Amino acid sequence: MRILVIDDERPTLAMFELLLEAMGYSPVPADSGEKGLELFENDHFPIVITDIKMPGIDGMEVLSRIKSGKPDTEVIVITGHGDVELALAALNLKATDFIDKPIAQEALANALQRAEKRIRRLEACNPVTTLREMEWAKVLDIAGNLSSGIESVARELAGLAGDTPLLVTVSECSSVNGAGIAGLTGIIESHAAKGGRVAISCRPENFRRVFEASGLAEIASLHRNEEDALRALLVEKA
Amino acid sequence: MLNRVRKLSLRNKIFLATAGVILLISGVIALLARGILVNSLSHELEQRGLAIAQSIAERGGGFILDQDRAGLVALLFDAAQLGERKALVAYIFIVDNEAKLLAHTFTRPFPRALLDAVGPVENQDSRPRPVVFEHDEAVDMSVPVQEGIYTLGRVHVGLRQSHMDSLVSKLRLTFLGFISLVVVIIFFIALVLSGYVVDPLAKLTRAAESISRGKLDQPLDLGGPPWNPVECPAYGDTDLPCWHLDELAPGQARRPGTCNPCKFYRHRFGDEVVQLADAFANMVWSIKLYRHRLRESEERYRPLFDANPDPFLVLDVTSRRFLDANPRAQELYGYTKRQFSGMTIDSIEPSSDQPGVRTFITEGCPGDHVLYTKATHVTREGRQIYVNIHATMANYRGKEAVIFSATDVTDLVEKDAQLIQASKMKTLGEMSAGMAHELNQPLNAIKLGSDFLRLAAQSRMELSRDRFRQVSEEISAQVDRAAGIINHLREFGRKSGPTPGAVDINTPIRGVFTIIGKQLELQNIRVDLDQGDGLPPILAHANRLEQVFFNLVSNARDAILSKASGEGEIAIRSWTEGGHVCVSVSDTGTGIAPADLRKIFEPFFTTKRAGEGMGLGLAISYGIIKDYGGDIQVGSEVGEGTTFKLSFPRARS
Repeated sequence: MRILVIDDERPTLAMFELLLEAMGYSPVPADSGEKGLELFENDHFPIVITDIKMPGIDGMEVLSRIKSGKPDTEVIVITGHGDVELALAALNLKATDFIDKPIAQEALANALQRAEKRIRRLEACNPVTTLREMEWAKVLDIAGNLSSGIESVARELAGLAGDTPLLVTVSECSSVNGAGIAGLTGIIESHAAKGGRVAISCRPENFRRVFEASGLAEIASLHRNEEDALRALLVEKA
Repeated sequence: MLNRVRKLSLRNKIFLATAGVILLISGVIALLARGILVNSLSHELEQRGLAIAQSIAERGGGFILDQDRAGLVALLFDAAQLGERKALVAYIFIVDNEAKLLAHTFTRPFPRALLDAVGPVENQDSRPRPVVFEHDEAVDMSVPVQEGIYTLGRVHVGLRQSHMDSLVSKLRLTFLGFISLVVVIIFFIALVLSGYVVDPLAKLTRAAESISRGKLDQPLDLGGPPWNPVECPAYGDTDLPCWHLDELAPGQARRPGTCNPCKFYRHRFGDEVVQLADAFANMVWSIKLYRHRLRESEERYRPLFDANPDPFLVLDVTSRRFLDANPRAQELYGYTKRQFSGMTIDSIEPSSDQPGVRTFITEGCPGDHVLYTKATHVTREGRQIYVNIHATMANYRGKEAVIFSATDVTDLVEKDAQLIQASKMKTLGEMSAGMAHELNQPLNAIKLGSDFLRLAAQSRMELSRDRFRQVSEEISAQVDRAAGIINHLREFGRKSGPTPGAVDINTPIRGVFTIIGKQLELQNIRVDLDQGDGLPPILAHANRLEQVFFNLVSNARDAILSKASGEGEIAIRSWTEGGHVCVSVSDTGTGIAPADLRKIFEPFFTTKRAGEGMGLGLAISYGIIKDYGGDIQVGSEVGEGTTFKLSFPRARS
């Protein structure tokens, strides 16, 4: 798969290229935002990895321009170590994922795998959100890019009784951007207002951090996997 | 002989000189008198004898012609016995032309020897001739007896030699007596005169001696009324100028006011001796007044020296030894005054690298005044202290000396260092964002490279030698880059040593951009670095200078970022100007309002919002720059930008 890599640091770019090649991808390096946009215009890249802090046209600009042109492109932004604010800002601009610097190969591989899954889901036209019933709880499954369009789910969940716990699962291949977080927050808040309990099981580690930072963790308990989340809901019920 | 004369007292000299001259004159007069008086007396007596003879010759002619012997004898006796002649005339006799005795005055037989002695009758010579008869001496004079043209005989008159001698000796005695009297009188006058001159001189000498022994308060016996110093206004008030003392005070064109009349200035009418005494008395008063004022001023200023809270030291310029030290200096340095006097400046100021008293000794001129801040001195216990030195070159007790105060500012210097260090730590905090970015870049590249190698190893990928070298070299280079940044930070955060070293001013400027250069670039701020080549070094601490430049550059950045466009340029230039190394930091930011421009170096002045800045950055920068003898100036146009110009003196090689 062809990947456009944009970074103003030449040594990083060179290493990036080598690593991505070794991981089986075909990277195309660009050492500035301008260069990256130019390459993107003239070619097709399903995945773009870009550094945010760059002189001239920076990563944010690159992201918004790509998204305004080809919104389906998977854009993974590279942020400074632990800079969640910046990650949130990027997600608000519809970035699909983010990786911290220094980039670990596992994180990179995960992000790329998720992106590939999302692309495949998109191609298979699988829905992003599905609602299912458990014997004592309601479950909202999220897979793929969660952006706007969560309103129908919200309406459906509005009729949910306050004593039914709600479990939100965010699968491995998911990406939740700013609008998605806002929609999710609305659903959880309204359920909590009725006295309902909400648990979130979120597999991608970086999105757990985003949820924490955006305040979702305060109104719902946040867990690594479904089992932990269900256990938490059960404990609360009892 | 001449020496012995010189050693004589003035009185003896006058006396001896007078006596010598008088004796010489008397001797000459006596000799002259003897010649003139004695001769004229003898001549006078002879004339008298001749006159007697002539009167007898005139009257005796008739008696000779008449052959009246009795008449003739009577005539002779009459002439011989007349008045005083009796004592003078020894004899009278007349002889005829045949030398036959006609008459004589002897009452005894006529001594025949006389006839032989007086010579022949024809002898016309009437010159007196001495004759001796019957153990008697006389002077014989003869006159011819003439009747018409005939000579009848001769009259002989003998003048008694003994009588004549007694007359002459009486004359001599009288004369010598007179001369002696005159000599005695003149001796006496000389004595009195010499006494008149010498006594005041002796008094003046005694007075001068007693003054030179410091006994100024003793009354002087120089005539005139005694002094009462209280009456002199200048005696009591040392600030009051006295024309008597300060004929013209320095720098004063007009003569200061005088007391009219001055109670102490003497000017009597009289001869030179009196005037000398007056002049001497005036001089003594002058000395007395001057000494009094000097003592007063010494008494007034000594406490200023002794009780001064600042340490004061006096140093001899030629020997470099201490002449004086006040108690505070003794306390600070730990030496006693006695120990100080055996020491040179080198004992308390061991280093000659930085300017201090040692520099001033060699380079200063009389009247100079300098300030050396934060000079390093050493106390007796070997403790290093920092002192601010105010030094001046002046005359101290007749020697050219450096008088200096050494204010202990060790605590201040340490506090300053702490403040600068604290500010540096704050700067480090401000740098952290840039630093994180700068460190993340190489770490990122290293991580990617090493992950690549691991992946290659895990998947047993065939890796070419060139790839291996590329990756390992890149990793190594990035580690060096990260280590360089960390070293730089450590260097920056390190506490500066007490003494500055030679620094190339371009080094700290470049240092600033290794930390925030990238950040500025990311913020779209252009940096125009124009560093002069081969600039002379300056004496400073590199990391403190970097702190200053970081401050200026980050202020410039903030000024640019607070502009609406958020874009701009920071230009840094370094060059030499005279003996100074200059740096300018210009930005195209918002500029500083004229009202704020004066206050920007004041501590706690800030235009930033609360919590964004303490307002200490420029104040501390100012302090640092001043520490290195430098200067900072600012120029600003609102909306156009700001320029700071720094200048530092070049380090002396």
